[in-house]
Amino acid sequence: VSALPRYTVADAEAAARLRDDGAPGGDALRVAGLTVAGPRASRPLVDGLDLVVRRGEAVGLAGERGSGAELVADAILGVLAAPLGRSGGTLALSGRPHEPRRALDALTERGLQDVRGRDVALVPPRAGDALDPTRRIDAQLTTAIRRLDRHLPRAAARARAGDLLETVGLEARERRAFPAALDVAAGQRAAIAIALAGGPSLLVCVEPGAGLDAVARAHLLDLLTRARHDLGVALLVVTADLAAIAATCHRVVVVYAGRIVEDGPTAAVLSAPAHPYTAALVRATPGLAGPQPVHGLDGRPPLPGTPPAGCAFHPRCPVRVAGCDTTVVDLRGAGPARRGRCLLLPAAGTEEAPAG
Amino acid sequence: MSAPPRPPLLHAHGLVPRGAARGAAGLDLVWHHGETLGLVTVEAAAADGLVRALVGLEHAARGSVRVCGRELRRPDRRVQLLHADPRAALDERRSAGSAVREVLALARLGRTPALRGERAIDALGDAGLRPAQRYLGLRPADLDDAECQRLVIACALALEVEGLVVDVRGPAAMPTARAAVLELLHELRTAYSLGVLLVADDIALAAGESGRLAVLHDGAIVEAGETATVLAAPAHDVTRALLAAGPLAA
Repeated sequence: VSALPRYTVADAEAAARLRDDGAPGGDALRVAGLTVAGPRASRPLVDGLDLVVRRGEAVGLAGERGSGAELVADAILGVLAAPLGRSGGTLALSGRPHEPRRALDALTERGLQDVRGRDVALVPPRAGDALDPTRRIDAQLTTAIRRLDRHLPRAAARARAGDLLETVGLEARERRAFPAALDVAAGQRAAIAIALAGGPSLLVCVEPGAGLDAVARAHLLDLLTRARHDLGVALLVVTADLAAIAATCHRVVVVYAGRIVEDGPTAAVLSAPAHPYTAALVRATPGLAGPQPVHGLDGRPPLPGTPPAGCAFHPRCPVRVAGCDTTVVDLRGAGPARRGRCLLLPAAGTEEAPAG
Repeated sequence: MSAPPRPPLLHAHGLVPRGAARGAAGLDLVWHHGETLGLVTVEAAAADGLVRALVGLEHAARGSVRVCGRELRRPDRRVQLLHADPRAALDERRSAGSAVREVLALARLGRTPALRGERAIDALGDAGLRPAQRYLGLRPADLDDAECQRLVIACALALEVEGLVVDVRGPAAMPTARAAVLELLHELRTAYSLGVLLVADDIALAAGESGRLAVLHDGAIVEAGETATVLAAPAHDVTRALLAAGPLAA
């Protein structure tokens, strides 16, 4: 067997240990009642979404295309594309202990520019495509570090850039290369290094590993877990891929038609979903229940902003009952630290958000 | 008394696609009628070339492909490709009904326009676009990705396809929709004994759908066998790495 550098087996056990490393601290991000409105929408595209990410915690925001999950990422960073806009809700960041909570929703664009990169950073899908093609990787990162920390001498910035690029696993040759000379996986690692340049307390990763094959994707997810563990950065992983969430996240929040349909600890939610949409997503994701054939879901998700009356999922729901098409259900308690938005869950004792 | 053994649906022998590295080993692959076979690889460029050579879209640099015992020299309607991006295979100006009637006319199947129209309706329905009448006039722009995939399957079914090479590499933006297409292929396998060759980078996906797995590395199969056997005792480093990368690792 020839040397197989690209097949190095990720240390799954070590990654699993990192994943379960104790109780995270206070809130890094607290989103309450987030509402994103769009033109010609009868209902907001994101409708009253509550979300808490604790310091050093990894939370998965699971939603298929059109669910509104990707808009949540944009809303947190204040980069919603017009004509979409945040029409309600509060967003607060508090990355470090003893640091006052900063209300993102009250900030102007100028204030947000201070926050982006320093407190919260975005890793967009196919992040490697966003690198500057005309500059070497280490030079780009040094510039990014000095832009975020103007008092840092150039030599210190360069040293920090070298450390960061080593952290994300780029070889010496790749650190000196132009982006075009990197493969897709290395480009995405470089982009993650740039996202980490300002020492953010929260990393918002949208579709991590898009455009990568299964092995490179697993390595990238391990890198995110390691960064969370070593640097203490909290993760919000926005993707439709439950396997990626299972590999990285403590908790999962499932979104359908702009609303949370279920949230709770990842292992509990994926092994016994409380909402039929979560169950469908689990059955559609290969390997979650062992080597079983996947099962699809008929019908289309509703167009963003025009969901059916009652439960938005009822036209596609295999277990719908009378009343699903008229009753708007609130999130109900569905077990320890779990909530679900389904008429079939016992109504008694509507619980607070798990991270209350 | 016994009939001569039926040649396999597809038999690749020492196949090296164009553009492969010099000295690359060839692919030897036997794919039987009605069999779902998982070909697992993370080597994108090599897999692209192999897939094109397997369905006759490209001549191989070396080696041969036999479909039902006969050398494959040009694309054969019996073994067709289901591209990861179905829109790449469709003409956006053509309605669903017209697309199926067109492939029938090109293959000289169905003698009259009326016959072709009937076969188009049957094929659309078999591919899960029901009621077919409603889909006849819709163009790709009116369809979502999963429906486009079903339309490509309908075109293949109209031509009485016997094996589909299905490219399912990469994560799905709509997992429930992709799973629905995989479920349809599973049903077609039972109903029409359609063979499916799944080209996947995710061994968990291939293992769930296939009775047999083949792991590709450097253009050659480094491990092949019954899915349960491969999962229980992976013999090659590449197989172990593929397993470690996914949810089957635990």
